[in-house]
Amino acid sequence: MRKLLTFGTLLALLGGTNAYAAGYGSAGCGLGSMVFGNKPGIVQIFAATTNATFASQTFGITSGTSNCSESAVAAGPKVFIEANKEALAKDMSRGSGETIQNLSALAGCKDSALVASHLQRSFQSIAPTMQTNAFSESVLQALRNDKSLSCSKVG
Amino acid sequence: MATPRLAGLVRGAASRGLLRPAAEFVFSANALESSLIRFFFHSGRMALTVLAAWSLFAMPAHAASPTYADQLVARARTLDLANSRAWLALLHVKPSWWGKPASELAGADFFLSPNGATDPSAELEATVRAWFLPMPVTSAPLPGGVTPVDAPRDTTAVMDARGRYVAAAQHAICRFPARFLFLGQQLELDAATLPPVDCPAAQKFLERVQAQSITLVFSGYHLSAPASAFGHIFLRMNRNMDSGHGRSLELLDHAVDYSADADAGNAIAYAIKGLVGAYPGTFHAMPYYYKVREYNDFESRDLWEYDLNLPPDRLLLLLAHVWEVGWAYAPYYYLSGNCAYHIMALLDAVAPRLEASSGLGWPVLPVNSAKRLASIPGLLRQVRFRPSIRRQFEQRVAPMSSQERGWVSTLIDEPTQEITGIAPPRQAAVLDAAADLVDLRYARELVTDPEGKAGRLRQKILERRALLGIPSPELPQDVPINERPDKGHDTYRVGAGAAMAGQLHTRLEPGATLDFRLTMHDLADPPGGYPSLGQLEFLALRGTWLSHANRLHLDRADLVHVASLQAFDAFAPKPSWRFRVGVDQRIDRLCTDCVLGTAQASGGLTFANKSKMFSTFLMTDMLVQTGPRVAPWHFKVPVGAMVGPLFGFRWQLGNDVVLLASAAYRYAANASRGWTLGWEAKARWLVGHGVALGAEGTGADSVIQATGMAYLYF
Repeated sequence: MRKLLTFGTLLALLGGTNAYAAGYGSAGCGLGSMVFGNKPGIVQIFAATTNATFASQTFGITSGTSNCSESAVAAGPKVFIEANKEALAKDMSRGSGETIQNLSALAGCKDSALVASHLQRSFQSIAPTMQTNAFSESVLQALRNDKSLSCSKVG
Repeated sequence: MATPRLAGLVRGAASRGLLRPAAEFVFSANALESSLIRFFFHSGRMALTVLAAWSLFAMPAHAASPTYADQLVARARTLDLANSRAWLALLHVKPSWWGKPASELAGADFFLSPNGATDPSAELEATVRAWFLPMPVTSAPLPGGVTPVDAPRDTTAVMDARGRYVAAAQHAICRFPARFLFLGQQLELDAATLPPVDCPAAQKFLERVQAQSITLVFSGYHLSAPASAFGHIFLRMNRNMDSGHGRSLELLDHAVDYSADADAGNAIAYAIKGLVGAYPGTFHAMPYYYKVREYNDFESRDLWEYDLNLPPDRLLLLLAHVWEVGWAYAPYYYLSGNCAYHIMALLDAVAPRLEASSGLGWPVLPVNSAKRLASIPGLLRQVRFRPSIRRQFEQRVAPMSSQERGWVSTLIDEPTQEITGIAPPRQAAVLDAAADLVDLRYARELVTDPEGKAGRLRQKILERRALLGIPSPELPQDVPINERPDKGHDTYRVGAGAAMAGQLHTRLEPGATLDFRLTMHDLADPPGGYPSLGQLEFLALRGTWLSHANRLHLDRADLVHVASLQAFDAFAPKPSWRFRVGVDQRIDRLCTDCVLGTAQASGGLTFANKSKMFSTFLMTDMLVQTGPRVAPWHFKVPVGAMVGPLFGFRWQLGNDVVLLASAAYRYAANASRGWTLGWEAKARWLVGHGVALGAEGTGADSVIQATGMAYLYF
């Protein structure tokens, strides 16, 4: 059998020491980028549907940030809360649900069931901010306030 | 720093019994490193491992070696690598219809050679030589206010220390990592000869995606929106993060899709541009939660998730390749070069033996790509389902008592009404259903005017729900197996049969009927795999040769015939409708043997039982027809119009038999006025895989035709 160059070595070439990137934050990505715009808190008209980015159909995403430069995880809980606002509010009122499980992990909380019941209890105080830019902040504040949740990534 | 070698990093995992047939080339390992490999792979976090591995490496700085590049190019020629299936697939080169192979992806930045799109060998040579170029140092600030989105396509935008976005040129290795991995491995590249290369942007990308596996996602048919009537296909790159519950933390995964960058023009311009390839289509990556919110919540479409077994080496190559195509585009063709085709081409690029993009037919239907993958032995791991908001609501309401349903209706009008007579846990269930109903009924208003009436209603319901302080149990998984899209009948159909036709009270003459339909499903077709009350037909032709008269009668020639029967639901009523454009040969007492261009539209209501196996519909039916034999009406325009009530039923017996009948009594309002009765009845029985038998009858006034048909779906 031929001796082949190893895959791992090749991969390593893609990386290397990161001198070049020193001083640069992450931004930009080649992947066409997303169209969520970058004005915090506004309802974005996001091309919905289909095979096509069909801009005449509207899909609102209240997105705290912008483009694909951020991954769901790297972007952190704030962006997640903004993008999933409607579904999250519903799950908060129900004291359970998928958005809370994902948020809980993203925010580095210990137990998503505890987070769910805490957010349900805090709903009255968070609800008034639903339609404002302060929504994500008030959710995060609720997570910070209860130390027993030990959420490690809520800023 | 010495270079620790991780030989066969990937092969180690591939050899653990994951998919083999796809392996077109094999990565090697040696014994020394295998323990390391095992360590990494037993941790189950490949992408992380790879990233960790990267940081271990510092490339020794060797001078570029042109002679070595020459050697590699010569070796590639000897191996005829440029014509290998894997290399062609990575470049997306396909034989074009005029014979000369060409890449289906465009964009000067997708090729290093000026002739790269049509000359795979030139591209290979340019690629190999580019590896030995020193790391480019150019980075120019983008014009003021410009975001990374607008960075030149052959660069990557990074933020500098002052917070400005700068466009930084990338080294060929960073720009085309999948080509590098493939060629380098095939050419037995000695990595020590390469210049120091650093790929912060590509690295960041892999770090972000961190895929452990992939899933093909099909978003269900959306009959109300022509652009998405056939559904949509995209990939999800799974991080497989454990949630401690049933599903992993999928919302935080990445979706990769191919879609047209359409402008906001009107629907007709959009349709034409989409058909002729006037829009560029590009690949996008975004968090999966955007997709879930868009499809499940906003459009109320189900998502079917096909988890695939892709061996780790292929997966890694796929990630590297997804990075490559981020700069490319392809003209978007709604019927051929669409989401399904280009997503399959991505899979082919990294595992050509899958032939995922072959045999998709024309038009390329998203569902056919799911069928294609499901048919490859060992590729499909499991199929999962995410219900639309409508289905979630129905699931919540189904077990409710009539009293509880009453409360759901009341709350949606009077959200502050005190709920009496039911225990708090049931109150919670009622409020949960009401919240879903608000989302379902006011989907658009909630987006366009979140602070409006619908938004306030929603907020009140949620606040009340939270006050109960009871957690809602998760909705149990309720997968509509019968609708699993890849299990549906195939989308081409031909039929042949014997007919009797003629005037009812005189003699009937025998005839022979032929039927062809390009795509895809009608209300009488075998229902498995399709929404039971939806119809979507393109290019359907049927003719009957009548023996005595020795002439051909055109039964129908429909360009498009779409129907969406919406089972009436007092909670969220939706109208039923149907739309048809085609050519008819009419025989009734008002017009005999008139060949007419026809547009038909119907609207009304459908009532169905709970299982939707039986439904009846009542609609207003309207036809506008034109043709040489139509008497000129107003303004001497030869247009006829008919309008009248239409009534029908559909009865589905199991998954194999469907009965469908309808009758319309229409008033013709052109020169030859009067009422005319038209009816049709069909019984169809799925007798085996892809074969159905049918008995059908149609009539117009006293002219009738009865046909016995055999249909083949393929």
